[in-house]
Amino acid sequence: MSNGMLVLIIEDHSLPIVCYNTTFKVGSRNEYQKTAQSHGITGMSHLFEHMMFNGSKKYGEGVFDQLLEANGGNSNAWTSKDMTSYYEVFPTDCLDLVIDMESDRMANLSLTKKMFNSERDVVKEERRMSIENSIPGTMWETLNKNAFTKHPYHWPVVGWMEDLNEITLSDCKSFYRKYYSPSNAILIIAGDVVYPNVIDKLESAYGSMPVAKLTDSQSITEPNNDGERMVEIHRPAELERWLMGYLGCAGNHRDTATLDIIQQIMGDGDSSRLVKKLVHDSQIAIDVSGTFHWGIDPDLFLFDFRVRPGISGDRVLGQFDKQIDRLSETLVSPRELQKAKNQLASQLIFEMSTLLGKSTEISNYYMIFNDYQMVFNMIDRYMNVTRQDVLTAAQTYLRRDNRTIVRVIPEKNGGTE
Amino acid sequence: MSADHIHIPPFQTEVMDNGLTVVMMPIDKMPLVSVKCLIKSGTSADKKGKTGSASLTLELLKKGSGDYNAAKFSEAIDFLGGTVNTGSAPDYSIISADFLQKDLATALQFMGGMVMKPHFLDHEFDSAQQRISAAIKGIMDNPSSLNSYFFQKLFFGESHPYASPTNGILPEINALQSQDIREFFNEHFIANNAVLVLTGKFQIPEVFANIQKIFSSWGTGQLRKTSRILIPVQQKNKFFVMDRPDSVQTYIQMGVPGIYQNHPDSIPLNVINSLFGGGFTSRLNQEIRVKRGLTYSISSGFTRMFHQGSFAIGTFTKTESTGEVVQVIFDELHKLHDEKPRDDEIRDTIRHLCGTYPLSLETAEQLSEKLTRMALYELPSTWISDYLSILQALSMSDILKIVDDYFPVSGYTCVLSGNGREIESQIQGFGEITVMPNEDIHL
Repeated sequence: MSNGMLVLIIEDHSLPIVCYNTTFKVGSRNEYQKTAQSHGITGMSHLFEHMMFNGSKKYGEGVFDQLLEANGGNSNAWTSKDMTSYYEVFPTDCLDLVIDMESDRMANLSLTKKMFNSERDVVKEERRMSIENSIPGTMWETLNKNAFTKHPYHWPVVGWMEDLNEITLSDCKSFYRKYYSPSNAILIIAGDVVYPNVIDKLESAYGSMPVAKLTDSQSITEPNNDGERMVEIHRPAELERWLMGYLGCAGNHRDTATLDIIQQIMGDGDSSRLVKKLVHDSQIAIDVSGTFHWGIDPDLFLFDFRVRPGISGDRVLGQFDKQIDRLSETLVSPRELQKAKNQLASQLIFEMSTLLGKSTEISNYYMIFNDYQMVFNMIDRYMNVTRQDVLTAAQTYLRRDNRTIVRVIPEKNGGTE
Repeated sequence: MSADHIHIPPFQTEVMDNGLTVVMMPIDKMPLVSVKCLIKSGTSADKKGKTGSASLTLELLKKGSGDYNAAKFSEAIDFLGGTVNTGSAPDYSIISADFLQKDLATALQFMGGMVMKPHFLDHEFDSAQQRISAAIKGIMDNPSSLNSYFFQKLFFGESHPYASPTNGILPEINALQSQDIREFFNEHFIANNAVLVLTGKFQIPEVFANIQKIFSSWGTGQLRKTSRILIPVQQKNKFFVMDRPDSVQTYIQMGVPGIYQNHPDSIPLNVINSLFGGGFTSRLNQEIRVKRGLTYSISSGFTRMFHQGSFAIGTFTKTESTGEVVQVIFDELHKLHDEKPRDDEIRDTIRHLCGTYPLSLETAEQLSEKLTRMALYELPSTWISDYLSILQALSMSDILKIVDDYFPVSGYTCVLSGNGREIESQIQGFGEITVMPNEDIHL
C-alpha cells in the first residue's frame, strides 16, 4: 500500500471463513534492559501484545473480543524475539468489521492506566507459569541469559520480573508510536475473499495512516564465545535435564537451510541419529531433540535431553558429543541427506494446510528474509544442500567452544544456581 | 454462519467380511492423506492390576512389525517425510498416519503390519517399559500434569476404569510382562473391533481394493460388552491439596459429574459452558483474568466419553491469590443460577460456536478425527453436517433449563497443587480439606 504496508491476499473458497493476520516487525530484540539512568522495558513487546485487545477509539474496552466472538470469530496473538503477530479467524461476512477493528487499533489504540495494571498482572502470572514454576522455562531463560551477553536475545520474551514491575503507561505509549505503524507490518488475508473487493476496503481503512520513518534500531552483534559456558541449576526435580545452545547464523543466511537439514539428521524423528543412539540403542536418555531457531539475528541451535534415572548425565553428554563429532568428521550418507530433505519439504506442506498455517508461515518468512517469496523457494534451497555443506556447517557451528549448556540437577529440597 | 454455507465432503462406509469398518472421505485439496486405525478398546480395558497395558501395546506397535524391525520402520517413515503416531485414551486406542498423497499405499502397508503382525520382541518390550516408566516420573516435574494426574484419580475414585492415567500406575507398569501385552493385543486388536478411517486426496475404488487386499486376512474375535458407569454425586466440596512447597503458583482443578458421549443435553451444554468458561469472553475469564488479573488462563469443560465424565474448571494463580480465585469461581457458579444468562448472551454464544465450527473441518486430519469419533461412539452419519442446524434450532428454554442440572454450586472434588501451608489457610470454609504432604506424593 502507499503507506508501506505489505498486503497479501490468498483466495481459498473451500470454507466460508477468513484468516486475517497482521504481523509487526517488533519483538524482544527491540527492547532494552535497566541502566544506571533508567528502568528497563524488557517484556514490553509481549505486554503490549496484551494491551492491543483492550480498546481503541471506535471500539471500547473489551469490545474487540466481545464483538468478534459474538460474530462467530476467534482471535489470538503471539510475540517472539523478532516479531509480534495478531490473527483473527471468522466467517466471511465479518470481514468489514474485522478490517475496521484492526485498522482502528493500529491507528487509535486506547491505553488506560486501569487496563495496563490489569494486563501487567496477567503477564506476571504468565511469567510465573512459563518460567519460574517451570523447569524447561527456567532452563530456557538461563540458556539465553548466558549464551547472549550483549545481544537483546539475552532476556526472555516475557521480560524480567523487575522490568515488568517498572514499565510505565508512558513507555507503552512511546512503544506504540514507534513500532505500530503500517510500514512496519505485513497483513495477510487468507480464505473466502475476493482480491479486488478487499483491496479497496483496505485502502480506505489503512490508506490514510501516516508513513513512519522507522529504521531497525538493533545493531548489536553477539561476540563469539570465548569457550564453552556451563550453568548448573540445583532444584527439586525427578529427572536430570540438559539444554544446550550453539550460536548459529541469522535466519536469512544461506546456512539456514543446512542447519535445518542437520536438525532433521540429528534430532527429529525416531530414526534421527541422537534419538536412535541415546534413546533406543544405548537407552541412556528418555528423550532428545534438536531444533534450529530462525532469528532476524543469529540465534541458537538447541539440543535437549532428559537423562534416564540411574544414568550419569555426563555419560549421556559423552555419547551426545560423539554423535556431534561424527557429524563434523564424516560425510552423511546420501540417503540420510535425502531423508532430511523429504522431511523438511513434507513439513512445510503440512504447515500450509490451514489458512492460519499459511498466513503464519508467510509472515515469518517475510520478517526473516524481508521477502515473502522465500516460502516458495525454501524447498529448492533444501534440495540444493550437499553432503559437504552439512560437514562444513557442523564444523562451523557445532563446536564445543561455541556452545552454552544448562543442566538441571535434581535435588529433593531447596535449590540454587 | 448457517449449515447451508458448509460443504462437508461426502464419505463412504464399507464393512468388510471380517467386520472391519472402513470409512473413506476423499478431499480434493492439499496433496495429503490421513489414515487412522481405531481400536475400540483403550486404557479402561486394562486388566485390574495391569494398568499401562494398552499404552505399552501401542508403543510397541512402532517397534517392529511385518517386514520391518524398529529401526527400519522408523527410517522408512522418516524417509517419506510422514508421521506415524500411536496412543491410547480411556475408550480407544489409535494409530494415526499422515503422509503425502503419493505415499498412501505405503502408509496402508505400514498400518496393516502394525495392527496384524507386530513383533513384540522381548528387548523392545524391556526398553519401552523402562522408557515409559521414566517418563511417568517426569510428571512430578510438571505442575499442570501432576495436578491433572491426581484430579483424575481422586475425581473418579480408585476403582473406576477412568481413574488410571493413560500410561498406567508406576508400580503396575513396572510389573507388566511381555505376555500381558500379547494378551491385550490378541483380545482387542481384531478386525471387528476396529475402524479404518481415510481422508485426503485419493480415489475410493482404487484405495478400497488395496485395503481389502491388505486387511482381509485380519482375524476376528469376541467383543466385550460394557455397561455405562455413572458417578455418585457428593453433597459437599472436598479439597485435596498436593503440597509442593517450592511452587510459586497453585494449580486448581475442580469437577462434578457431567455427561457421557451421545447425551441428549450435549449441544445445549456447549452453549452454557461456552459462555460460562469456554472462550475468552466467558464469564470466568472476564472475572478472573480480565477484571482481576489473577491468572493467565482459566477454562471449563465437559468430557464426553462412554462412561459419565466430569464438568471441570481448571486454572492457576500465584500462591497468595488461591483463596480469591476459588471464591470468585464459586461466586460465578452462584451467579449462573441467580442471574440466568440473558437472551443476547446466549445468541452471541451460539453465533460464536457456529462461526468457529468450520475451523474444525479444515484439514484431512481434522475431518478424520471427526469421522473417527463418529465411528467410535456410533453417532449418526449426519453428526458432522447436522451440528450447526441443531445448534441454531435450540430455543432459549432448551438452553436455560439445563443450567440447574449441570452447574451445581457445591459437591466439587477440588485438587490444588502448590504450597500446602499457604493454600490451606486460604481455602478454609469452602469444604473438607485433605493435605497430602510432599513426601507422600507418589505416582
